[in-house]
Amino acid sequence: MTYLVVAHFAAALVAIPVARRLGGKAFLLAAAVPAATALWSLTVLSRSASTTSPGEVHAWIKGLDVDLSFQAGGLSALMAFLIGGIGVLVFLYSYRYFDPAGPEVVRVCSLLLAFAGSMLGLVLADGFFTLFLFWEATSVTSFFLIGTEFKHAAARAAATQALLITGLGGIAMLVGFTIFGASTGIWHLSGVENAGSQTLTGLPAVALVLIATGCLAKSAQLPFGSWLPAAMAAPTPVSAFLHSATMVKAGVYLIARLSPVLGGGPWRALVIGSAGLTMVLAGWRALRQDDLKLLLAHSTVAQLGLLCFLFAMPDRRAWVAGVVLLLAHALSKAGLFMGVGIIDHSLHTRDISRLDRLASEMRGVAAVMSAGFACMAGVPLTLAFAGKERGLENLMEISPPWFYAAIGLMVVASALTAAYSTYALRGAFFTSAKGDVAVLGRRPSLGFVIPAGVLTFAGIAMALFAKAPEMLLGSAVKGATGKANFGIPVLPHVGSALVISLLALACGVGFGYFDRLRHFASKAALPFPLGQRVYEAINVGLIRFADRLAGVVQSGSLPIYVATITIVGMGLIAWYLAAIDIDLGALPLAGSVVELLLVAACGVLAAAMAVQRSRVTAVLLLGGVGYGLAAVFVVLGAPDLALTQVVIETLAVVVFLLVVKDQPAKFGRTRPVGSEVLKIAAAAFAGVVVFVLLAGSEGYRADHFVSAEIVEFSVADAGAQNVVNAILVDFRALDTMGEILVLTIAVIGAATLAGIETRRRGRA
Amino acid sequence: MRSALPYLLWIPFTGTAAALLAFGRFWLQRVIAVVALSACLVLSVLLLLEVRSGGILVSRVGGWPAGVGITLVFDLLSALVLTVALAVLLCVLIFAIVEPGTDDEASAFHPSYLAMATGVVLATITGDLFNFFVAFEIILLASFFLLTFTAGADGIRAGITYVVINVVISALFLIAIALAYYMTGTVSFAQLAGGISALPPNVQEVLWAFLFFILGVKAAIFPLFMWLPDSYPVARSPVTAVFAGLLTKVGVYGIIRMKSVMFPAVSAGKVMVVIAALTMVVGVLGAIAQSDMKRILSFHVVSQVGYMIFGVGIATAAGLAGAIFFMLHQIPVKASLFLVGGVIEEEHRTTSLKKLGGIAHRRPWLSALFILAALSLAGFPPFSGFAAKLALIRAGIDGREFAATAVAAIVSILTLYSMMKIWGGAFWGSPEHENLDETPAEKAELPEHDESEPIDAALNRSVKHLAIAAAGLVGITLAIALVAGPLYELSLRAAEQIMDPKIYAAAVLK
Amino acid sequence: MKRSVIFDVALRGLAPILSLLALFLLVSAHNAPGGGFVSGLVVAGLFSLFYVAQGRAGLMRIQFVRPVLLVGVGFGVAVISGIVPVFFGGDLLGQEIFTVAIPFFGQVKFPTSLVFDTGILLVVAGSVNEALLALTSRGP
Repeated sequence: MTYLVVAHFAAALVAIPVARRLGGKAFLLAAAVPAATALWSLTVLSRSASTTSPGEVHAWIKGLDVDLSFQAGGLSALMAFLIGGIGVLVFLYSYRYFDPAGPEVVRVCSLLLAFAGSMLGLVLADGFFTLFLFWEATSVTSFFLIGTEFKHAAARAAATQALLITGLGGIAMLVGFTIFGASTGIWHLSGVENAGSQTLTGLPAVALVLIATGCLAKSAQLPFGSWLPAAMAAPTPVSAFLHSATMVKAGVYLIARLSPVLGGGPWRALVIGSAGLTMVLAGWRALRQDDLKLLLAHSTVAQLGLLCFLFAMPDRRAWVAGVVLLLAHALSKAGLFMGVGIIDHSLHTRDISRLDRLASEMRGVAAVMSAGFACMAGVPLTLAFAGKERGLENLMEISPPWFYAAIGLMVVASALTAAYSTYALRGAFFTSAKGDVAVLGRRPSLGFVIPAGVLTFAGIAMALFAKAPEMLLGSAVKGATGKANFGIPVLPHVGSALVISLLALACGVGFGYFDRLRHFASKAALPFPLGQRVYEAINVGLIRFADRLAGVVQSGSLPIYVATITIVGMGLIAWYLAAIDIDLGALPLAGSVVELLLVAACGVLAAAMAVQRSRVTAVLLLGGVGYGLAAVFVVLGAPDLALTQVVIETLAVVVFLLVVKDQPAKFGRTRPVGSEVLKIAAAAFAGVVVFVLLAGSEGYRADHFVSAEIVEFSVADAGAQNVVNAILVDFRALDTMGEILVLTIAVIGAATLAGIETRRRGRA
Repeated sequence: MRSALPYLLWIPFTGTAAALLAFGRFWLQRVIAVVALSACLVLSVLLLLEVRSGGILVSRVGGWPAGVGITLVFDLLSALVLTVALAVLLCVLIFAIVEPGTDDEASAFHPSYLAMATGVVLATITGDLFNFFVAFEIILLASFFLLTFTAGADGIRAGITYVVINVVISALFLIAIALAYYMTGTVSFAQLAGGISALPPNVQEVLWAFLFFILGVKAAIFPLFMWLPDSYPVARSPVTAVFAGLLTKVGVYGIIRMKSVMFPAVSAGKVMVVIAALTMVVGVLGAIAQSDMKRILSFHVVSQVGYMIFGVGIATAAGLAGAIFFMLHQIPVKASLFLVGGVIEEEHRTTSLKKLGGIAHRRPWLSALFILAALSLAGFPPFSGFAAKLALIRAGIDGREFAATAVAAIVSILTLYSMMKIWGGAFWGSPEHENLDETPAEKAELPEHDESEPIDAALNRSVKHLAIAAAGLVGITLAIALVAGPLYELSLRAAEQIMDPKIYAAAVLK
Repeated sequence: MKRSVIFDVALRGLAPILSLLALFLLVSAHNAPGGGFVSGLVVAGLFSLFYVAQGRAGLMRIQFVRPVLLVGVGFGVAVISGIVPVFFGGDLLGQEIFTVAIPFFGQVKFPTSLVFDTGILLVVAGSVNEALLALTSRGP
């Protein structure tokens, strides 16, 4: 399995140079890869009636329980078959669809292969994080495929929207998996299944809600449904493959995997509620579409709703119906998309109102599409009919209090399906155009139509030859229910389910057939409560909020930054400081009168400097503060420090004077008063806090200082009487090293800057 | 035991001196810089192998015992951070050499760059609080000049913001060190551990708050980060790359080191987690508001620092390991994104998303580099960001920090959002298309741009070379993803090692 | 700038004294106040005196090497003095004291830290010198 998945990605890389040389023909070569998948999955399906095949595990991040592990159960193999089988047809179809010399061929071919690999990895994954890895990989490949026409803003926006919404679901799922694994110790789907049915409470139940959220987002259920219709900006083969048959089924697939074994908590209610609402609302919404592709997109959302709805049911018989419908929908919808793509290709429109009795001109396409719509709507003698009827029947047998509501929803949903199918088919193929008539360009070649035909007619064929679906679905059903044999009825049982099914179908066809009824319905259509508009509103709101926030935080004013940082930092310290008893009264004011006078003099000089308007005077006053400090050092008995301070101060004054000689003689006074107040307040606050801090530390003086040892060592070992110098060149020589490096960099930096400045002036 | 530890520090010192003496000889300087950093990297890897199973290398500078003299300490945390940091420093250096215009403007580039590397090495291996401060000063001054003299007049203005705030912080740092010395009588980490634990808990908290605040400014946490997005994007891309990748992480390293060695008893977790969450959110929202690639990425630097602080705040070994792993992932990934920005800047003379477009079509390989790094930043599997994010989410859940974990998860989607903004604006679309939205007057000011126009061959070549240099860094990111398993084990071991400050103290003071 | 006669004369007297002072501060640092930093600053002060007394021309007159080179050499000396002990199995930046017999002075203690201190002196003096040059270069 690992090799098969890896082969896809390798093929995706190889496809780049190959497609560059061969152009469109590369699609034909590429079809071999999904063909291999399909064959492999058939071998698994044929033998796995016994047990699930052994898994493959590769270690990756052990400490986080992340591994790369695969296992092919019945449902996985079924999905793999769909990916492979539909994949082959999509590649064959793409060969006709794309301009063979077009720039997008290389990209699409490679990305489709990468997608197929990701999707295959997703359905074969066993470890939670393996599943997540491929889950996100399908989102990313989908992003690039939707954005194939990246020069169009609509395609870019749609791609981003899809990635963000599925990504949001993905992250919820990641958190869900992590919580689930951390609280139960189970990190594999097989582990979940082997643990048997369990009712979850507490954290695992929360985890399951998060995982279900991810599934709903991926399968475009409310409130995440908006991305799928937008994703129709992608080329049709992409829509057929990703956005109807495979990727959007990922959420359905995971629900189907978890539903049979994990109960408890609100997750079922969440999925059933969301999916039930979606299947009705999206179906209704489809009725309003004139664009065939958009109609199909909304219909996909609705059908996915039905699948989620069935799989999330607590009864396993509903699960069986779900898996039948899963197969039926994948086949019919992919074929329908391909059909629409052919129409688009030949007439350059997908607008129903512009299509004029296409049945007479494109017989093959009409037949293919009719079969497809029939299969989707669940006309008798199709696979979907069998599935739906079975679903209804099962719902009628189980009787939790809400089952009437569930049956009602399903009936409405199937009626809607029938309605928009009828409308689309009739509008496009059997009635005359209402607007300006689209002109048929090139007639589609047979090779273009066949892949679509294979898919749509398969839905009928499978209902008639029940062996095929039994083989495909058997092991999946056995895995979930424990029973291998289940009949797909070619002829329906006579019973209330049949009556209801037929009634729903008839109602739907009527609604779709009579334009007036349909109009009435679409006028009354409910707005999508959490669809496109909400996404856009969130988008705009987010940007606006971010703008405002950035404006406030990032004012660009240095004084405000310094003030903020000082106030916040000092505030933090003050907050902790408040918890400490400080007796300021116990502090001695100064060691001696001289010291006090010197410090006072420094203070006066500093204050004088602050109000001074002449630059030169200010520099001299600053120098005065420095000399005063040197005097303080002398009084405190630090001649070395005093000496250095005097020399430094002298040089500093000289350098400052050199700097200010080019400046105006006086400081300008242009700043607003408010900023001055802020600065003074911040400085004062910082001063007070630091003072209290230092004064307060008096009570916590250490008993022993390393300086004592330094003096000892200095005389004994270093043989130095001058301890200060011994510290500089011996004990802490590394600090000195660092400081002379600072000095060195400062000087070459300053010199370079001055040089740049001079050069700039020279040029000016 | 004598180890090669002194050489690790002395190689960049020697390199700086040699580069200074080669002043004016560009090629010689380049060779010196590359050789010095390569040698340092190799040595760092060798030492990493030596300490991988939990040993600590100690070297007493001048032979003096800790406290009296300065001690160099090389444990697993130092080893991991330093190795990744040096790899990134080397890659960016090569990029800067290849790129016309970064290092040939001034002879001071290489000495400053090597000095910055020296500062980084010193900061990660010193066992002394004051020496750590000196390391920060070296980094500060070297980075200030790298910022200013590669960026012209804007650089000087941005440099002033940068240097003023950092100098204010340096002054406060000194006060904090003085305070710590006054209360404990020492500045050696190992002795401070003992001295601080003898203080009453609320006094410990004050000291911790002071140091956390100072390092928080260096690491650019909320609300102390404003200086960063205003100064980083102005420099030339290689310089911004190494700043964004490394410098804030040195602050984070300081927070991790000091919290674990000096303040193990202070329960500051809640405060840190709240600050971390705010940092993540405000940083990413700031990024969303920008429309320039380098500015977006600079805000992300802030946002991602929030993740690391979150890990430290969880206060478990797993959380700390997550923070360490996140840092290891973040250093190369952030730098590589800026380097891709640098390639774009080299070709288009701008990184404004409004003026760029269609790069995916013209430079598919460069675009692939960007998307790999961008997806890694957003935490997509199988890239390194996924493992880093997962490690933190897992630690957050195990540590029962559900709210902050949720914030971390949502912020990763917002990160994706702004990465997609860059992708959509610069790599997809087309500049002409965007121009249509502007008024004719504005349009007239823009230089004519014709896509069919043959690209200048020399420019084309240099763009290709630059892309290769950037690819090296993206390669490191991918390699981190590949060895995520062992690397996480090492991070966990490093976290466990520093969670027990007695190990550190025993190794240094024995 | 006009040359000031008084300063000029003072400089002639001060220059040798300051040079000797710097040397004294450097050598005696072991047992008395002084050291590389201070003596470097004194040398730097001497440079600035030249500038004050004789203007930029005076400053230029005493430039026998580029100050950047002075800084580089000083830094290099410090770096080498730091690592050499390691080559001999000692510690980084470790110090030794050699006692040398010099005629007329008798036994003179010669700490290896003197080399390190000399490096500091060169860096400090060179730095200030370079700063003076840079700052005065754009003057009128």
